[in-house]
Amino acid sequence: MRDDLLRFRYRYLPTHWFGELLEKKWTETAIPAIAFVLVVLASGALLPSFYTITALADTLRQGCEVGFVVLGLGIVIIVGGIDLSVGSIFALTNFAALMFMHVLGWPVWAAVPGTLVVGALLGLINGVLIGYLKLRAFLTTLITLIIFRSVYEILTLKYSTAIAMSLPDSDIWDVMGSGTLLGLPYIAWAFLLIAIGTHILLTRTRVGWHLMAVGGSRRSAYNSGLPVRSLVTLCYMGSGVFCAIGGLFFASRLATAGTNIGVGMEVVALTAAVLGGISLGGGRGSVAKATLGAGVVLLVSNGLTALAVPGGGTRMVLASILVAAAAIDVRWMKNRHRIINKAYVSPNFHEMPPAPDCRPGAKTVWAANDKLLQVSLIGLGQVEAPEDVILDQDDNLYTGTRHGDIVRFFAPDYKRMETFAHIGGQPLGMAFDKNWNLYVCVGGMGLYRVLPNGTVEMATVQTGRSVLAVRDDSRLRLADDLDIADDGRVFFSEATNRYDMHDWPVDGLEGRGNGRILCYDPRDGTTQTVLRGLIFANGISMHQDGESLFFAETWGCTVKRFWFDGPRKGAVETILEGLPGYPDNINLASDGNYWLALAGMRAPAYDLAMRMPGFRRRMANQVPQDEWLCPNINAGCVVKFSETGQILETLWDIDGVNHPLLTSMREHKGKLFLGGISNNRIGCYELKDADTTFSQYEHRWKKAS
Amino acid sequence: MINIGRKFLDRALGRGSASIAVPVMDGALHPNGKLDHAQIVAVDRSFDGLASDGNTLWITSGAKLFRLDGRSLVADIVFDEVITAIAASSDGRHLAVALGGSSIQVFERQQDRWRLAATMPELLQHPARHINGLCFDGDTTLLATDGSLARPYDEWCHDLLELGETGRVIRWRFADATAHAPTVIASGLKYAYGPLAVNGSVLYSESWRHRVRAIGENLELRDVTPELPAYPSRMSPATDGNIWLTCFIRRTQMVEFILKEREYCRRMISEVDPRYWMAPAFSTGDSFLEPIQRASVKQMGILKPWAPSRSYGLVIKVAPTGRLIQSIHSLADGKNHGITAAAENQGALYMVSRGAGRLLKIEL
Repeated sequence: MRDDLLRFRYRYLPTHWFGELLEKKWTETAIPAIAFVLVVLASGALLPSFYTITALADTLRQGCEVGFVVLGLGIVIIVGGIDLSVGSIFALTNFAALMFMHVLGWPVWAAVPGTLVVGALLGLINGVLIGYLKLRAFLTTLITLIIFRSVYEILTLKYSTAIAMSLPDSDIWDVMGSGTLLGLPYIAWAFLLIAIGTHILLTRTRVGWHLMAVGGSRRSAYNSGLPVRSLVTLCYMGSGVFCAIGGLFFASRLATAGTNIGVGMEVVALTAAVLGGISLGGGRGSVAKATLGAGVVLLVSNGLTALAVPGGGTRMVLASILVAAAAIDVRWMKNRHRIINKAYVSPNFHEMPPAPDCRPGAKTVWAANDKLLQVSLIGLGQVEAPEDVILDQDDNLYTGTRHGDIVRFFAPDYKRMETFAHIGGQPLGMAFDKNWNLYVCVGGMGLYRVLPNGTVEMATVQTGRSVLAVRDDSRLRLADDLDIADDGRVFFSEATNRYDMHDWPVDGLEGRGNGRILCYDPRDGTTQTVLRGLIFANGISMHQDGESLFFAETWGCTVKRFWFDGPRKGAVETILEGLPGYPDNINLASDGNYWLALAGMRAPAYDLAMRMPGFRRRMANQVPQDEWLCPNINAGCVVKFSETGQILETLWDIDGVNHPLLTSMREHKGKLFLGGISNNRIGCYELKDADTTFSQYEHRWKKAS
Repeated sequence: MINIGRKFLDRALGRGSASIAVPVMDGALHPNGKLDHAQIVAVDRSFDGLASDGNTLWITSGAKLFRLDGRSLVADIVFDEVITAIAASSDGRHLAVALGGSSIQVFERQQDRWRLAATMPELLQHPARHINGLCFDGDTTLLATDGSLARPYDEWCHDLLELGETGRVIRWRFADATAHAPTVIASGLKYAYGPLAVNGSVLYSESWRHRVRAIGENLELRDVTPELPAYPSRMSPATDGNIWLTCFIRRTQMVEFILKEREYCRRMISEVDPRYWMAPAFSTGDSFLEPIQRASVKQMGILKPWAPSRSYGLVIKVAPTGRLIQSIHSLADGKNHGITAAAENQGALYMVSRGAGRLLKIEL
């Protein structure tokens, strides 16, 4: 009953999507977005006139003015600095706009750029001081805050009467302040356009990436050759310009040069930026975050004002929000990776039929023996991690190593070795095509091809993205084993698309169908996914009928047959299930049956854990990885099975002396060559009564042609 | 309410009551491979207890009691039941054995033969079931630890997984058997093991609490070593006045975690053969059906010595004050695991490794 519930839950609730969603950078914006929605709802409920058109338009006008300032400050923070002088620049540019329009009587087309230039110049002062003279941003902008403010006060004292006395005669200026387009004030449209532009600038252009890079790590950016000083200067200028835009609209709306304009604005803007999720440490933030933060702060302060909370109270609330947001940001930044990692691992309910008795002396074909004790060793200590082994028509032996090499041992004694090709990654399964090109699945890279002269070519590293994939699964993460159809199509398995090569035990812990089988067609270079949802898809071997293949699902402990051609095209049939161990590579035997490597054996305590996903999830969260339960891959065996799924023979190294782990075997001229991914040797076992002329790929391609 | 909240928080953050932290083996407990280099005196899968009077060394194996004679073992007495504990008095006149975990017999030396001198009367309310340690206190008193009321001697691991807390320490004045019934001087212990009389107080291991405690003359309890990184078992006196403390299994974070997973423990006990549990054991690596942990996957044919292991070999020398003085280890890649007894005899330290089934010797 309990197991049924678990089975149901894990089959129909894709819990692993949660961790994948959390991995996306944009999910961080969700928190300020939720806060924004809550504040809007709360304002609507508490303030009776909140949703009226005039109130909304008014809120929007104020909001966008502050929004521009927050945008400017946000960029400065993203680049790793701070600009406290935004309020003073706002006031000064407001003054400049009024001066140009009211006193000097400039036309709008001159006054607007003029004001922006004033803003840019004020920003430039900050920028030069901080970028080129290397003064501390905090202190510098604190000082310019005071200086700009003083200048503003001196100027207003002199010109406020003149400003108040005259009114500019400009329709465009009036429309800027109070007109609407399609029901929205002009400033809202302007903000929308500029915000989108800034977003594109930051995320899609070279200069934007450079700015992000400087914010992420100034030293790395410098070492990479970025012009850090001019970028920093540029962003302070940008901040000045944004303040100027805000100041312009403010001037056109209120036409006032009062003494308290822009006072305390830096705190409001800072609160908005931090609340939106722009990290004070730099390198993290976006336009959306700045906008949402501005919205929340504005609505909160407006709401408090409307509820007749005194000004001190409002500032107190804002200050508390700032502190809380900064604290949360620091904690989140510190723990983000841990939280994502914890949420990412998502164990599944995985149940398997009981395993046959394999203990020594058991009355089954499975009974453990020590036949493999009699192997001769090839390349002991010379190869590391030979996952698969393969032999060519001259009996030379090829294997991959964890250094990313394909090494070749020369027949007949396999004492001499050379590096045949260097690919990188971890070479896994291998197969020869008709022209003796060696196709190799490389963990962490994809499917590669080594020509007989040792040239390495990339065959494919990606496939189409699945429709329902939260996480981009087009890139191959762990190509594992392959075989080649008569027409040259390469069928290869990808063990898991959720974890990298060396995290395969974590995939084992999940026990979900994260693997797939793909088909690469060398004739047109296309790659397609032909089978999905496989529990660690591993060994692949063509059936002799040329229209189907066998594949192994390692954690599923099954071997299945898949028809890729012919009348049964698309069908999947289970050949072996409830295996006592974890199946790895499959290869043809000389008598027409198939060899299968069991990389490890199922332990009852582990099987029990596989039926308790909650237990495994807690284990993944609480226990260090080194101590996690793991499939027992310190013991394994080689099995021969018939195409109907009958087990014919088992070969064991029960004490794990030479081959604690077996991932592959290849029969060649009366010998069985053994590979293991955690071994430092290749084994060679003399088969009794085997065809001593059998050479798998010679046999294959002779038959096919 | 606060408690529930705290428990929830602990579970979420993995601290406090949900912590699976294990003390680090450091200082005097710094790991070494000394135990793996010990001389192997004899091999027998059933070796368990040791006793020494300073001149003669006795060793138990199943129902047999052996005496070490030079380099060979001589069977002294053969019983009907498994010997679960043994003790020799310091003057060599008396020998005590626990049989089948439930009864205790005291023998007296008469020339070259041993004569049954006393049999412990049954404890009234809860008969002893799991006697795993014996020790003479003077000439007339015997101390015993009864590990668990719930499980017999060979099911100690069940008791661990069931978080058993039914261990007891028993005192019995055997010289005057009719007048003095045995008395329980400590009970409700999370597995009692290996008593030792030291300067008027009684030391015992509380294995599942990873500590050694002492019972004073007025039955007051005090900690000797409060937080060990392993599960202490039997104790024996060292000639320099200190104590040899054996640790039969080791703590690991994985096991600490499993012990908190009550449902998993229950299902494992009911569904899985005890040999293949994810639980501490005397030895590991005997079967491919045993679970392994991620870092114990052999790489390039080698098992790392510091790989997580369900079994371990550890003997610690402890001062009566509780200070740890030195330690002897066998790490994950070693064989001499599951040390259940140690005894000093004629200038050498003898130890029983239940994991390897060996009697080991280190010259001091």
